Amino acid sequence: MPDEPLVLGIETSCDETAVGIVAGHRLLANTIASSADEHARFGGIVPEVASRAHLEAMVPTLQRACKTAGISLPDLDAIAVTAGPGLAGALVVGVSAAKSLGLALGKPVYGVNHLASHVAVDGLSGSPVPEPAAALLVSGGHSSLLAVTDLVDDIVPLGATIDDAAGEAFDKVARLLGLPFPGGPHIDEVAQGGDPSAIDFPRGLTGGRDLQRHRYDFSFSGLKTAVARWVEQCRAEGRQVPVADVAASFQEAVADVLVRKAVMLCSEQGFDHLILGGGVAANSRLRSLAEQKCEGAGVRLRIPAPGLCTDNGAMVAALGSLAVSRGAQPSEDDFPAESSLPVDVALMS
Amino acid sequence: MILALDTAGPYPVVAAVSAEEDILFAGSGERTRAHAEDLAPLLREALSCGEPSAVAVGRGPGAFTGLRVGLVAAQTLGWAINIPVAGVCSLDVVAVQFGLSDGWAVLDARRDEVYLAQYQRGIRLDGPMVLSKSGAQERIDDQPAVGDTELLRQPDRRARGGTSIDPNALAAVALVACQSRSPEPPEPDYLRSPDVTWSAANSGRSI
Ligand SMILES: [Zn+2]
Repeated sequence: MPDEPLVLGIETSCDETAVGIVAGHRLLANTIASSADEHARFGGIVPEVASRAHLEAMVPTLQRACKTAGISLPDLDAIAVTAGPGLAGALVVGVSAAKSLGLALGKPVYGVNHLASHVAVDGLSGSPVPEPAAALLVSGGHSSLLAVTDLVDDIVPLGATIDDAAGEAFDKVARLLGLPFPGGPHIDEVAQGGDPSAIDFPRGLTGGRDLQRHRYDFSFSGLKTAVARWVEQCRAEGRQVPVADVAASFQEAVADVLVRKAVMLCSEQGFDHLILGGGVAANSRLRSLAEQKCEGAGVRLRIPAPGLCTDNGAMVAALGSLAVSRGAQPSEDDFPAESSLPVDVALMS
Repeated sequence: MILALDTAGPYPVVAAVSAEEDILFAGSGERTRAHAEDLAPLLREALSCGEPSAVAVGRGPGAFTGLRVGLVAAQTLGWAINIPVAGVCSLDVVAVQFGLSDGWAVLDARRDEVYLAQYQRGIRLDGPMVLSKSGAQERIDDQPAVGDTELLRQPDRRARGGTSIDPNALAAVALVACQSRSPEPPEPDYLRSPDVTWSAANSGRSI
Protein backbone atom coordinates (compact mmCIF):
# COMPACT_ATOMS: atom_id res chain seq x y z
CA MET A 1 0.00 0.00 0.00
CA PRO A 2 1.29 3.47 -0.78
CA ASP A 3 2.09 5.57 2.29
CA GLU A 4 0.11 8.52 1.06
CA PRO A 5 -2.46 7.17 -1.41
CA LEU A 6 -3.19 9.70 -4.14
CA VAL A 7 -6.96 9.71 -4.45
CA LEU A 8 -9.41 11.76 -6.49
CA GLY A 9 -12.85 12.19 -4.91
CA ILE A 10 -16.08 13.12 -6.69
CA GLU A 11 -19.12 14.54 -4.89
CA THR A 12 -22.51 15.21 -6.55
CA SER A 13 -25.04 14.44 -3.81
CA CYS A 14 -26.80 17.81 -4.00
CA ASP A 15 -26.16 21.04 -5.91
CA GLU A 16 -22.37 21.07 -5.84
CA THR A 17 -20.24 19.36 -8.46
CA ALA A 18 -17.06 18.90 -6.48
CA VAL A 19 -13.74 17.20 -7.10
CA GLY A 20 -11.02 16.91 -4.49
CA ILE A 21 -7.58 15.37 -4.67
CA VAL A 22 -5.59 14.26 -1.63
CA ALA A 23 -2.32 12.48 -1.01
CA GLY A 24 -2.89 10.73 2.30
CA HIS A 25 -3.62 13.56 4.73
CA ARG A 26 -2.47 16.28 2.37
CA LEU A 27 -5.04 18.32 0.47
CA LEU A 28 -3.94 19.00 -3.11
CA ALA A 29 -7.14 20.33 -4.68
CA ASN A 30 -10.66 21.17 -3.61
CA THR A 31 -12.55 22.31 -6.71
CA ILE A 32 -16.24 23.14 -6.68
CA ALA A 33 -18.78 24.19 -9.29
CA SER A 34 -22.10 25.09 -7.71
CA SER A 35 -25.54 25.44 -9.25
CA ALA A 36 -26.75 27.23 -6.08
CA ASP A 37 -27.49 30.45 -7.97
CA GLU A 38 -29.84 28.61 -10.31
CA HIS A 39 -31.84 27.35 -7.33
CA ALA A 40 -31.86 30.50 -5.20
CA ARG A 41 -34.89 31.99 -6.91
CA PHE A 42 -36.93 28.86 -6.17
CA GLY A 43 -36.10 28.99 -2.46
CA GLY A 44 -34.82 25.42 -2.53
CA ILE A 45 -32.91 22.95 -4.64
CA VAL A 46 -34.59 21.67 -7.81
CA PRO A 47 -33.25 18.14 -8.34
CA GLU A 48 -33.50 18.12 -12.14
CA VAL A 49 -31.77 21.50 -12.41
CA ALA A 50 -29.00 20.23 -10.12
CA SER A 51 -28.56 17.01 -12.11
CA ARG A 52 -28.31 18.87 -15.42
CA ALA A 53 -25.70 21.17 -13.93
CA HIS A 54 -23.67 18.18 -12.66
CA LEU A 55 -23.39 16.73 -16.15
CA GLU A 56 -22.27 20.06 -17.60
CA ALA A 57 -19.75 20.71 -14.85
CA MET A 58 -18.24 17.25 -14.41
CA VAL A 59 -15.38 17.19 -16.92
CA PRO A 60 -14.45 20.89 -16.49
CA THR A 61 -14.33 20.38 -12.70
CA LEU A 62 -12.20 17.24 -13.03
CA GLN A 63 -9.89 19.16 -15.31
CA ARG A 64 -9.53 22.12 -12.95
CA ALA A 65 -8.89 19.88 -9.95
CA CYS A 66 -6.10 17.97 -11.71
CA LYS A 67 -4.53 21.23 -12.83
CA THR A 68 -4.69 22.71 -9.33
CA ALA A 69 -3.19 19.56 -7.80
CA GLY A 70 -0.54 19.38 -10.50
CA ILE A 71 -1.02 15.65 -10.95
CA SER A 72 -1.44 13.51 -14.01
CA LEU A 73 -4.21 10.91 -14.01
CA PRO A 74 -2.00 7.79 -14.22
CA ASP A 75 -0.42 8.79 -10.87
CA LEU A 76 -3.71 8.25 -9.03
CA ASP A 77 -3.99 5.24 -6.75
CA ALA A 78 -7.78 5.23 -6.62
CA ILE A 79 -11.02 7.08 -7.35
CA ALA A 80 -13.60 7.72 -4.62
CA VAL A 81 -17.15 8.93 -5.10
CA THR A 82 -20.18 9.72 -2.97
CA ALA A 83 -22.56 6.77 -3.38
CA GLY A 84 -25.14 8.25 -0.99
CA PRO A 85 -27.09 9.59 0.76
CA GLY A 86 -28.30 12.40 -1.48
CA LEU A 87 -30.52 13.19 -4.46
CA ALA A 88 -30.81 10.03 -6.57
CA GLY A 89 -30.55 11.75 -9.95
CA ALA A 90 -27.61 13.85 -8.82
CA LEU A 91 -25.69 10.97 -7.23
CA VAL A 92 -25.71 8.81 -10.37
CA VAL A 93 -23.87 11.49 -12.37
CA GLY A 94 -20.91 11.35 -10.00
CA VAL A 95 -21.05 7.58 -9.61
CA SER A 96 -21.09 7.03 -13.36
CA ALA A 97 -18.24 9.49 -13.91
CA ALA A 98 -16.15 7.80 -11.20
CA LYS A 99 -16.71 4.31 -12.58
CA SER A 100 -15.83 5.46 -16.07
CA LEU A 101 -12.69 7.20 -14.83
CA GLY A 102 -11.68 4.07 -12.92
CA LEU A 103 -12.18 1.90 -16.03
CA ALA A 104 -10.35 4.32 -18.28
CA LEU A 105 -7.33 4.45 -15.98
CA GLY A 106 -7.45 0.90 -14.66
CA LYS A 107 -7.79 2.19 -11.08
CA PRO A 108 -9.99 0.91 -8.23
CA VAL A 109 -13.16 2.83 -7.38
CA TYR A 110 -14.54 3.28 -3.87
CA GLY A 111 -18.20 4.23 -3.46
CA VAL A 112 -18.24 6.04 -0.12
CA ASN A 113 -20.77 7.43 2.34
CA HIS A 114 -21.25 11.18 2.21
CA LEU A 115 -21.81 11.46 5.96
CA ALA A 116 -18.72 9.45 6.86
CA SER A 117 -16.81 11.70 4.43
CA HIS A 118 -17.91 14.76 6.40
CA VAL A 119 -16.10 13.22 9.37
CA ALA A 120 -13.10 11.94 7.39
CA VAL A 121 -12.31 15.42 6.07
CA ASP A 122 -11.09 16.29 9.56
CA GLY A 123 -8.02 14.20 8.72
CA LEU A 124 -6.91 16.90 6.27
CA SER A 125 -6.49 19.48 9.03
CA GLY A 126 -2.95 18.46 9.94
CA SER A 127 -3.34 15.32 12.02
CA PRO A 128 -5.25 12.07 11.52
CA VAL A 129 -8.90 11.82 12.58
CA PRO A 130 -8.95 10.68 16.21
CA GLU A 131 -10.61 7.31 16.62
CA PRO A 132 -12.71 6.74 18.61
CA ALA A 133 -14.50 10.07 18.56
CA ALA A 134 -17.99 11.45 18.71
CA ALA A 135 -19.15 13.37 15.63
CA LEU A 136 -21.86 15.98 15.25
CA LEU A 137 -23.00 16.27 11.64
CA VAL A 138 -25.27 19.16 10.83
CA SER A 139 -26.46 20.19 7.39
CA GLY A 140 -29.53 20.95 5.31
CA GLY A 141 -30.55 17.31 5.32
CA HIS A 142 -29.03 15.87 8.48
CA SER A 143 -28.49 16.50 12.16
CA SER A 144 -26.83 13.46 13.66
CA LEU A 145 -24.67 12.38 16.54
CA LEU A 146 -22.35 9.51 15.71
CA ALA A 147 -19.95 7.24 17.56
CA VAL A 148 -16.97 6.81 15.25
CA THR A 149 -14.78 3.89 16.28
CA ASP A 150 -13.35 3.19 12.83
CA LEU A 151 -14.12 5.56 9.96
CA VAL A 152 -14.01 2.83 7.38
CA ASP A 153 -16.09 0.23 9.13
CA ASP A 154 -17.45 1.16 12.52
CA ILE A 155 -19.71 4.19 12.68
CA VAL A 156 -22.79 3.94 14.88
CA PRO A 157 -25.58 6.54 14.81
CA LEU A 158 -26.62 7.48 18.35
CA GLY A 159 -29.01 10.33 17.65
CA ALA A 160 -30.66 12.24 14.82
CA THR A 161 -33.31 14.83 14.20
CA ILE A 162 -36.84 13.54 14.58
CA ASP A 163 -38.24 16.22 12.24
CA ASP A 164 -36.40 19.06 10.47
CA ALA A 165 -32.64 19.12 10.02
CA ALA A 166 -30.82 22.11 11.51
CA GLY A 167 -29.95 23.53 8.08
CA GLU A 168 -33.58 23.18 7.03
CA ALA A 169 -34.62 25.25 10.05
CA PHE A 170 -32.09 27.91 9.02
CA ASP A 171 -33.59 28.00 5.52
CA LYS A 172 -37.16 28.26 6.79
CA VAL A 173 -36.41 30.96 9.34
CA ALA A 174 -34.44 32.92 6.75
CA ARG A 175 -37.51 32.82 4.54
CA LEU A 176 -39.68 34.12 7.39
CA LEU A 177 -37.28 36.99 7.88
CA GLY A 178 -37.10 37.77 4.17
CA LEU A 179 -33.48 36.62 3.88
CA PRO A 180 -32.26 34.77 0.76
CA PHE A 181 -31.67 31.04 0.27
CA PRO A 182 -29.59 29.28 1.53
CA GLY A 183 -30.47 30.62 4.95
CA GLY A 184 -27.44 29.56 7.01
CA PRO A 185 -24.84 32.09 5.88
CA HIS A 186 -27.38 34.93 5.76
CA ILE A 187 -28.71 34.34 9.25
CA ASP A 188 -25.15 34.04 10.53
CA GLU A 189 -24.31 37.42 9.02
CA VAL A 190 -27.44 39.24 10.19
CA ALA A 191 -27.14 37.73 13.69
CA GLN A 192 -23.77 39.43 14.18
CA GLY A 193 -25.67 42.64 14.85
CA GLY A 194 -28.33 41.12 17.12
CA ASP A 195 -28.77 40.12 20.75
CA PRO A 196 -28.77 36.31 21.13
CA SER A 197 -30.60 36.57 24.46
CA ALA A 198 -33.29 38.96 23.20
CA ILE A 199 -35.87 36.21 22.73
CA ASP A 200 -35.96 32.95 24.64
CA PHE A 201 -36.85 30.49 21.88
CA PRO A 202 -37.56 26.86 22.86
CA ARG A 203 -34.82 24.21 23.00
CA GLY A 204 -36.41 21.00 21.65
CA LEU A 205 -36.01 17.64 23.43
CA THR A 206 -33.88 19.03 26.24
CA GLY A 207 -36.09 18.52 29.26
CA GLY A 208 -38.04 15.94 31.26
CA ARG A 209 -39.30 12.83 29.52
CA ASP A 210 -38.23 14.13 26.09
CA LEU A 211 -34.66 14.06 27.28
CA GLN A 212 -35.07 10.50 28.54
CA ARG A 213 -36.71 9.20 25.39
CA HIS A 214 -34.69 11.23 22.89
CA ARG A 215 -31.46 11.70 24.74
CA TYR A 216 -29.25 12.33 21.70
CA ASP A 217 -32.00 13.26 19.24
CA PHE A 218 -32.89 16.71 17.97
CA SER A 219 -36.09 18.50 17.00
CA PHE A 220 -36.13 21.83 15.20
CA SER A 221 -39.67 21.94 13.91
CA GLY A 222 -41.07 23.42 17.17
CA LEU A 223 -38.37 26.06 17.18
CA LYS A 224 -39.19 27.06 13.62
CA THR A 225 -42.89 27.34 14.53
CA ALA A 226 -42.06 29.41 17.61
CA VAL A 227 -40.05 31.85 15.49
CA ALA A 228 -42.90 32.06 12.97
CA ARG A 229 -45.43 32.83 15.75
CA TRP A 230 -43.18 35.42 17.31
CA VAL A 231 -42.68 37.20 13.99
CA GLU A 232 -46.43 37.06 13.19
CA GLN A 233 -47.30 38.46 16.58
CA CYS A 234 -44.84 41.28 16.09
CA ARG A 235 -46.34 42.15 12.72
CA ALA A 236 -49.90 41.90 14.05
CA GLU A 237 -49.04 44.46 16.69
CA GLY A 238 -47.71 46.74 14.00
CA ARG A 239 -44.15 46.61 15.34
CA GLN A 240 -41.16 46.34 13.07
CA VAL A 241 -39.56 42.88 13.27
CA PRO A 242 -36.12 43.15 14.92
CA VAL A 243 -34.56 40.88 12.31
CA ALA A 244 -31.08 40.85 13.83
CA ASP A 245 -32.38 39.91 17.30
CA VAL A 246 -34.65 37.18 15.92
CA ALA A 247 -31.81 35.76 13.82
CA ALA A 248 -29.35 35.86 16.72
CA SER A 249 -31.81 34.33 19.20
CA PHE A 250 -32.83 31.60 16.77
CA GLN A 251 -29.22 30.80 15.95
CA GLU A 252 -28.42 30.70 19.68
CA ALA A 253 -31.22 28.20 20.29
CA VAL A 254 -29.97 25.90 17.51
CA ALA A 255 -26.33 26.10 18.56
CA ASP A 256 -27.24 25.62 22.23
CA VAL A 257 -29.14 22.39 21.65
CA LEU A 258 -26.59 20.95 19.24
CA VAL A 259 -23.63 21.66 21.49
CA ARG A 260 -25.39 20.70 24.70
CA LYS A 261 -26.30 17.24 23.40
CA ALA A 262 -22.95 16.67 21.71
CA VAL A 263 -21.03 17.49 24.89
CA MET A 264 -23.43 15.40 26.95
CA LEU A 265 -22.79 12.46 24.62
CA CYS A 266 -19.02 12.86 25.01
CA SER A 267 -19.25 12.93 28.82
CA GLU A 268 -21.71 10.08 29.12
CA GLN A 269 -20.06 7.76 26.57
CA GLY A 270 -16.47 8.67 27.39
CA PHE A 271 -15.36 10.32 24.14
CA ASP A 272 -12.32 12.61 24.44
CA HIS A 273 -12.81 14.07 20.97
CA LEU A 274 -15.75 15.73 19.24
CA ILE A 275 -15.65 16.29 15.47
CA LEU A 276 -18.00 18.80 13.88
CA GLY A 277 -18.99 18.44 10.24
CA GLY A 278 -21.56 19.40 7.61
CA GLY A 279 -22.56 22.74 6.15
CA VAL A 280 -24.02 24.10 9.41
CA ALA A 281 -20.64 23.53 11.08
CA ALA A 282 -19.54 26.59 9.09
CA ASN A 283 -21.85 28.67 11.33
CA SER A 284 -19.78 31.03 13.46
CA ARG A 285 -21.93 30.83 16.60
CA LEU A 286 -22.01 27.04 16.53
CA ARG A 287 -18.23 27.02 16.23
CA SER A 288 -17.60 29.45 19.07
CA LEU A 289 -20.13 27.90 21.42
CA ALA A 290 -18.76 24.42 20.73
CA GLU A 291 -15.24 25.65 21.49
CA GLN A 292 -16.35 27.18 24.76
CA LYS A 293 -18.40 24.21 25.98
CA CYS A 294 -15.90 21.57 24.92
CA GLU A 295 -13.14 23.37 26.75
CA GLY A 296 -15.29 23.46 29.87
CA ALA A 297 -15.98 19.74 29.61
CA GLY A 298 -12.41 18.70 28.79
CA VAL A 299 -13.38 17.49 25.31
CA ARG A 300 -11.04 18.19 22.42
CA LEU A 301 -12.96 19.82 19.62
CA ARG A 302 -12.06 19.41 15.97
CA ILE A 303 -13.75 21.49 13.30
CA PRO A 304 -12.59 21.45 9.68
CA ALA A 305 -12.05 24.82 7.97
CA PRO A 306 -15.38 26.28 6.80
CA GLY A 307 -14.61 25.43 3.15
CA LEU A 308 -14.24 21.78 4.11
CA CYS A 309 -17.42 21.68 6.22
CA THR A 310 -19.76 22.40 3.32
CA ASP A 311 -20.05 19.70 0.65
CA ASN A 312 -16.81 19.15 -1.23
CA GLY A 313 -14.80 16.52 -3.07
CA ALA A 314 -11.79 16.59 -0.76
CA MET A 315 -13.82 14.91 1.99
CA VAL A 316 -14.71 12.08 -0.38
CA ALA A 317 -11.09 11.74 -1.42
CA ALA A 318 -10.04 11.78 2.26
CA LEU A 319 -12.28 8.83 3.09
CA GLY A 320 -11.17 7.06 -0.10
CA SER A 321 -7.54 7.54 0.82
CA LEU A 322 -8.18 6.15 4.28
CA ALA A 323 -9.90 3.13 2.71
CA VAL A 324 -6.90 2.51 0.45
CA SER A 325 -4.35 2.79 3.23
CA ARG A 326 -6.36 0.40 5.41
CA GLY A 327 -6.51 -2.15 2.62
CA ALA A 328 -10.29 -2.01 2.19
CA GLN A 329 -11.79 -3.78 -0.81
CA PRO A 330 -12.76 -1.48 -3.70
CA SER A 331 -16.44 -1.41 -4.71
CA GLU A 332 -17.71 -3.73 -7.44
CA ASP A 333 -18.37 -2.35 -10.94
CA ASP A 334 -22.12 -2.51 -10.41
CA PHE A 335 -22.40 -0.73 -7.04
CA PRO A 336 -25.49 1.52 -6.97
CA ALA A 337 -26.06 5.09 -5.90
CA GLU A 338 -28.31 4.95 -2.83
CA SER A 339 -30.23 8.08 -1.99
CA SER A 340 -30.89 6.92 1.58
CA LEU A 341 -27.64 5.10 2.31
CA PRO A 342 -27.46 4.58 6.09
CA VAL A 343 -24.57 6.22 7.91
CA ASP A 344 -23.16 2.91 9.16
CA VAL A 345 -22.30 1.83 5.60
CA ALA A 346 -19.07 3.77 5.03
CA LEU A 347 -18.04 1.91 1.88
CA MET A 348 -20.11 0.23 -0.82
CA SER A 349 -19.20 -3.39 -1.49
CA MET B 1 -11.63 0.39 -31.95
CA ILE B 2 -14.69 2.55 -31.45
CA LEU B 3 -16.59 2.33 -28.19
CA ALA B 4 -20.32 3.03 -28.41
CA LEU B 5 -22.82 3.39 -25.59
CA ASP B 6 -26.40 4.48 -25.17
CA THR B 7 -28.50 4.89 -22.03
CA ALA B 8 -31.51 6.69 -23.48
CA GLY B 9 -33.70 3.60 -23.28
CA PRO B 10 -34.67 1.33 -20.40
CA TYR B 11 -31.37 -0.60 -20.50
CA PRO B 12 -27.80 0.51 -21.07
CA VAL B 13 -26.39 -0.67 -24.40
CA VAL B 14 -22.69 -0.97 -25.23
CA ALA B 15 -20.80 -1.99 -28.37
CA ALA B 16 -17.18 -2.11 -29.47
CA VAL B 17 -16.45 -2.10 -33.18
CA SER B 18 -13.13 -2.34 -35.01
CA ALA B 19 -11.96 -0.01 -37.77
CA GLU B 20 -12.70 -2.91 -40.15
CA GLU B 21 -16.28 -2.72 -38.92
CA ASP B 22 -16.13 -6.01 -37.04
CA ILE B 23 -18.33 -6.03 -33.97
CA LEU B 24 -16.00 -6.97 -31.11
CA PHE B 25 -18.57 -6.65 -28.35
CA ALA B 26 -22.31 -6.06 -28.18
CA GLY B 27 -24.22 -6.14 -24.93
CA SER B 28 -27.21 -4.77 -23.04
CA GLY B 29 -28.24 -4.48 -19.41
CA GLU B 30 -31.17 -6.51 -18.18
CA ARG B 31 -32.61 -4.47 -15.34
CA THR B 32 -34.68 -1.35 -15.91
CA ARG B 33 -33.74 1.84 -14.12
CA ALA B 34 -30.32 0.45 -13.29
CA HIS B 35 -28.08 2.33 -15.72
CA ALA B 36 -25.69 3.50 -13.01
CA GLU B 37 -25.23 -0.12 -11.90
CA ASP B 38 -25.25 -1.99 -15.18
CA LEU B 39 -23.32 0.27 -17.54
CA ALA B 40 -19.87 -0.11 -15.97
CA PRO B 41 -19.67 -3.94 -16.19
CA LEU B 42 -20.61 -3.70 -19.89
CA LEU B 43 -17.98 -1.01 -20.45
CA ARG B 44 -15.34 -3.17 -18.77
CA GLU B 45 -16.14 -6.04 -21.14
CA ALA B 46 -16.05 -3.76 -24.17
CA LEU B 47 -12.76 -2.19 -23.11
CA SER B 48 -11.21 -5.63 -22.71
CA CYS B 49 -11.53 -5.99 -26.52
CA GLY B 50 -9.03 -3.25 -27.27
CA GLU B 51 -8.04 0.35 -26.87
CA PRO B 52 -10.68 2.78 -28.06
CA SER B 53 -9.66 5.54 -30.45
CA ALA B 54 -13.03 7.29 -30.22
CA VAL B 55 -16.29 7.11 -28.27
CA ALA B 56 -19.84 7.57 -29.53
CA VAL B 57 -22.67 8.10 -27.09
CA GLY B 58 -26.45 8.30 -27.40
CA ARG B 59 -27.64 11.81 -26.58
CA GLY B 60 -31.29 10.82 -26.40
CA PRO B 61 -33.98 11.84 -26.36
CA GLY B 62 -34.84 9.64 -23.42
CA ALA B 63 -35.42 9.54 -19.66
CA PHE B 64 -33.17 12.23 -18.19
CA THR B 65 -31.49 10.38 -15.34
CA GLY B 66 -30.52 7.37 -17.42
CA LEU B 67 -29.40 9.55 -20.30
CA ARG B 68 -26.95 11.43 -18.08
CA VAL B 69 -25.36 8.17 -16.86
CA GLY B 70 -24.16 7.33 -20.37
CA LEU B 71 -23.22 10.87 -21.34
CA VAL B 72 -21.12 11.53 -18.26
CA ALA B 73 -19.44 8.13 -18.63
CA ALA B 74 -18.54 8.84 -22.26
CA GLN B 75 -17.36 12.39 -21.58
CA THR B 76 -15.23 11.31 -18.62
CA LEU B 77 -13.69 8.38 -20.48
CA GLY B 78 -12.90 10.54 -23.51
CA TRP B 79 -11.28 13.15 -21.31
CA ALA B 80 -9.31 10.63 -19.24
CA ILE B 81 -7.65 8.92 -22.20
CA ASN B 82 -7.78 11.93 -24.49
CA ILE B 83 -9.88 10.61 -27.36
CA PRO B 84 -12.75 12.32 -29.22
CA VAL B 85 -16.36 11.78 -28.13
CA ALA B 86 -19.22 12.08 -30.60
CA GLY B 87 -22.91 12.29 -29.83
CA VAL B 88 -25.46 10.23 -31.72
CA CYS B 89 -29.22 10.68 -31.84
CA SER B 90 -30.83 7.66 -30.19
CA LEU B 91 -33.67 7.82 -32.74
CA ASP B 92 -31.10 7.40 -35.55
CA VAL B 93 -30.19 4.07 -33.99
CA VAL B 94 -33.84 3.04 -33.96
CA ALA B 95 -34.15 4.00 -37.64
CA VAL B 96 -31.11 1.88 -38.52
CA GLN B 97 -32.15 -1.09 -36.44
CA PHE B 98 -35.51 -1.28 -38.22
CA GLY B 99 -34.01 -0.57 -41.64
CA LEU B 100 -36.05 2.59 -42.04
CA SER B 101 -35.35 4.57 -45.20
CA ASP B 102 -38.25 7.00 -45.46
CA GLY B 103 -40.58 7.71 -42.54
CA TRP B 104 -40.47 8.17 -38.79
CA ALA B 105 -38.68 6.67 -35.79
CA VAL B 106 -40.71 6.84 -32.59
CA LEU B 107 -39.83 6.30 -28.93
CA ASP B 108 -41.89 6.46 -25.76
CA ALA B 109 -41.60 9.79 -23.94
CA ARG B 110 -44.12 8.94 -21.16
CA ARG B 111 -46.73 11.50 -20.05
CA ASP B 112 -48.81 10.59 -23.12
CA GLU B 113 -46.12 11.93 -25.43
CA VAL B 114 -43.61 10.44 -27.87
CA TYR B 115 -40.18 11.37 -29.17
CA LEU B 116 -39.87 11.23 -32.91
CA ALA B 117 -37.72 12.13 -35.89
CA GLN B 118 -38.31 12.03 -39.63
CA TYR B 119 -36.00 10.30 -42.14
CA GLN B 120 -35.54 10.45 -45.89
CA ARG B 121 -33.27 7.90 -47.54
CA GLY B 122 -31.98 7.06 -44.09
CA ILE B 123 -30.94 10.64 -43.32
CA ARG B 124 -32.63 12.56 -40.49
CA LEU B 125 -34.67 15.33 -42.04
CA ASP B 126 -36.50 16.67 -39.00
CA GLY B 127 -36.30 16.19 -35.25
CA PRO B 128 -35.75 14.87 -32.74
CA MET B 129 -38.87 16.38 -31.25
CA VAL B 130 -41.40 15.57 -28.56
CA LEU B 131 -45.10 15.61 -29.43
CA SER B 132 -48.36 14.50 -27.89
CA LYS B 133 -49.55 11.17 -29.24
CA SER B 134 -52.27 12.87 -31.24
CA GLY B 135 -49.84 15.48 -32.54
CA ALA B 136 -47.48 12.70 -33.60
CA GLN B 137 -50.27 10.77 -35.31
CA GLU B 138 -51.12 13.90 -37.26
CA ARG B 139 -47.50 14.49 -38.31
CA ILE B 140 -46.87 10.89 -39.32
CA ASP B 141 -50.24 10.40 -40.96
CA ASP B 142 -49.92 7.42 -43.31
CA GLN B 143 -46.12 7.48 -43.65
CA PRO B 144 -44.13 4.48 -42.45
CA ALA B 145 -43.05 4.53 -38.81
CA VAL B 146 -40.84 2.28 -36.66
CA GLY B 147 -40.09 1.92 -32.95
CA ASP B 148 -42.76 2.44 -30.30
CA THR B 149 -45.48 2.86 -32.92
CA GLU B 150 -47.90 0.73 -30.88
CA LEU B 151 -48.22 3.66 -28.49
CA LEU B 152 -49.76 5.79 -31.19
CA ARG B 153 -52.60 3.32 -31.55
CA GLN B 154 -53.01 2.70 -27.83
CA PRO B 155 -55.79 4.61 -26.14
CA ASP B 156 -54.42 3.65 -22.69
CA ARG B 157 -52.39 6.55 -21.29
CA ARG B 158 -50.31 4.17 -19.18
CA ALA B 159 -49.16 2.08 -22.14
CA ARG B 160 -45.38 2.03 -22.42
CA GLY B 161 -43.10 1.58 -25.35
CA GLY B 162 -41.07 -1.58 -25.62
CA THR B 163 -38.32 -0.69 -28.07
CA SER B 164 -34.83 -1.24 -26.79
CA ILE B 165 -31.75 -0.10 -28.64
CA ASP B 166 -29.91 -2.85 -30.50
CA PRO B 167 -26.15 -2.70 -29.82
CA ASN B 168 -25.35 -3.77 -33.40
CA ALA B 169 -27.36 -0.89 -34.82
CA LEU B 170 -25.70 1.39 -32.28
CA ALA B 171 -22.28 0.22 -33.51
CA ALA B 172 -23.23 1.04 -37.11
CA VAL B 173 -24.42 4.55 -36.22
CA ALA B 174 -21.36 5.07 -34.01
CA LEU B 175 -18.95 4.23 -36.84
CA VAL B 176 -20.53 6.86 -39.05
CA ALA B 177 -20.57 9.46 -36.26
CA CYS B 178 -16.92 8.92 -35.38
CA GLN B 179 -15.89 9.24 -39.02
CA SER B 180 -17.90 12.42 -39.48
CA ARG B 181 -16.03 15.70 -39.78
CA SER B 182 -18.62 17.52 -37.73
CA PRO B 183 -20.17 15.03 -35.33
CA GLU B 184 -22.92 16.04 -32.92
CA PRO B 185 -21.69 17.04 -29.46
CA PRO B 186 -21.89 14.46 -26.64
CA GLU B 187 -24.56 16.49 -24.89
CA PRO B 188 -28.10 15.56 -23.89
CA ASP B 189 -31.07 16.22 -26.14
CA TYR B 190 -33.55 16.71 -23.31
CA LEU B 191 -36.24 18.35 -25.49
CA ARG B 192 -38.05 19.30 -22.29
CA SER B 193 -37.37 21.92 -19.63
CA PRO B 194 -36.94 20.72 -16.06
CA ASP B 195 -40.07 20.68 -13.96
CA VAL B 196 -39.56 23.59 -11.67
CA THR B 197 -42.17 23.94 -8.99
CA TRP B 198 -42.09 25.00 -5.39
CA SER B 199 -42.54 21.40 -4.24
CA ALA B 200 -39.77 20.20 -6.56
CA ALA B 201 -37.48 22.85 -5.11
CA ASN B 202 -38.28 21.74 -1.62
CA SER B 203 -37.50 18.10 -2.20
CA GLY B 204 -33.78 18.73 -2.54
CA ARG B 205 -31.53 19.37 0.47
CA SER B 206 -27.86 19.48 0.92
CA ILE B 207 -26.80 16.64 3.23
ZN1 LIG C 1 -23.06 17.21 3.13
